[in-house]
Order: sequence, then C-alpha cells, then structure tokens
Amino acid sequence: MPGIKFTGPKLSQSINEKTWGAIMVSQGIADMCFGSCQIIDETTGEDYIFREGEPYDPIDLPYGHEVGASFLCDNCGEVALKVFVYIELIDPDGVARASAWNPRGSIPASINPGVGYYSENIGPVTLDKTGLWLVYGRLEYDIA
Amino acid sequence: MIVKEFVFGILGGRITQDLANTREKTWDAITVSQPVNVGGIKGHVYHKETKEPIEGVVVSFQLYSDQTDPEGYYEITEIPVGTHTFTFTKGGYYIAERDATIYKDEWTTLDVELTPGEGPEPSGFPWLWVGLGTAAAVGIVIAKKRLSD
Repeated sequence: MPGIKFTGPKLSQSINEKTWGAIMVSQGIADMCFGSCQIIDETTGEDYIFREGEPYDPIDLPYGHEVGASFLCDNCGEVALKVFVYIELIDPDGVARASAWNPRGSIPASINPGVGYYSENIGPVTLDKTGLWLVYGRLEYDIA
Repeated sequence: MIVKEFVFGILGGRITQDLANTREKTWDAITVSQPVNVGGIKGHVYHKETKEPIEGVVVSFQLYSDQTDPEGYYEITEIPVGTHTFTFTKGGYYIAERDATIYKDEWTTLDVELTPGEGPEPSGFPWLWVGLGTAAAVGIVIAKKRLSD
C-alpha cells in the first residue's frame, strides 16, 4: 500500500508580509526654564526685573535698605511636570539670609507646558553688608 | 556660579523628595557700596517737663544708631545725605520720630524732648487734646448762654 504523501504548496511562495512604521509614542521633552528674577527694594517700593536672555547689571542699592526677592520659572517642555522651586538670598559673605521652598510640604506643584510659576517672595532682608548679594534659584522637576 | 550641596530632610519647611531633574541659576543681584556722600547728626534729648537730660535713649535711622550719654548727648556719623526720619526710643517715654536733613561732611543738630508715656507718640500730641478741650469749653459756654437767653 502506497503511503500518503503530502505535497502542499511551498509557504514561502504563498504568504506575503509587510510592516508599516505607523505610530511613535514618546513622553515628550520635560524641561523647566528660568524666566526672570525680581528684586524688590522694600524701603523705596521700587522693583527690578532681570529677564532671562537679556543682559543685566546688578542693581546698586544703598546700605541699610530692605529687600525681597523672587523668581519666575516656566514649563518650557512638552509635558506636565511636578515641580519644587527653591530660592535663597545670599549676602557677600556667602551666608543665606533668606530662603524658601515652594510649595511648602511634600507635594510638588503640577505645572502644564507653557505655564509660569513663581518662587516665594523671600525677605525683607536688610542690606547690612557692602559687596555683591546673590539670588540663588533651584528647580526640581519630573514628569507628572 | 555657586556650587552648593543640599542637605535633604526638612529644609525651609519642606520635606524634600529629590525629583529626577534639577536646574540651578545664580543671579548677581545687588551691589551695596559704602555711601560716599555722608554727614552726621548730633544733639541732646531732654525730658519734656523737667528739661532734664535723658540717658539711654536709643536714636536710630535704619542700621545707624547711638544711645544718649548721661548728658543726653548722642551723635551718629556716616549717614547718607538726604532727609531721614530718626526715631528716639526709651522705655517710659512716647516714641518720638523726627525728620532731619543730612548734608555732606557737615553736622546736623537735632535736639528732642520726650514726653512720659508708652508706645508711639499720639498723633498731633499735645495740640490735638488742647484743641479738643478748647472746643468743648466753647461749646459749653455757648450752650449756657442759649439756655440763659
């Protein structure tokens, strides 16, 4: 008895395949940018703004005046971010004379793309040392 | 640029949780220079009623201050030129505020009399009370005259 022999079609000839590179999904760029820094002379009521990308010189204020400081940052990326913001006013001897986190507590702020966010306004601090005073800003951020 | 090390924990009122990304910036914000155009102020502080000098009165303007000696004398130097408000403070007396103009390389003399009391000097003191008392007396006289008519 002759055995049964299958002689089917060759698969490589009967199936066509194609792959389309169709959709790419990514989280987008996460980035926080500094926008400006503001100094307020509490003694005179005048305020001074250093805008990011624009040249500036430190302002010259009289000894004994009281000042406050804050800065603006913004979500310059493409995704919503959770953010902590920190600011210090540092005297000419390198001593932090005022500082603040924003927001206070353990829950970061949620900032959407294109939205600005202010640090706390710290001070008033009396300018009781001659020399250069600094404002230090720090951003901590992550994808929300 | 200042390089800083942060001690995480409770800092500035926040229980920190280090997020994945950080960005830092330092602004050279303010320069404070010792004023070049300066002058001085001096004077005596007396008791309003007894005219006796008062010792231990703190005379101050911003960070500049001095304390009167047994003769009631004070002096403050290196004050920037311009018109400033000086504060005279001692327990048991109303706090007095007086304006004075400081001129370059000159002494300005400011004598002050303090009135016994506590806290800020009453506004318009003492003429406000004198005025009110006079007005009340005149009112009573007019009222009596009308009644008698």
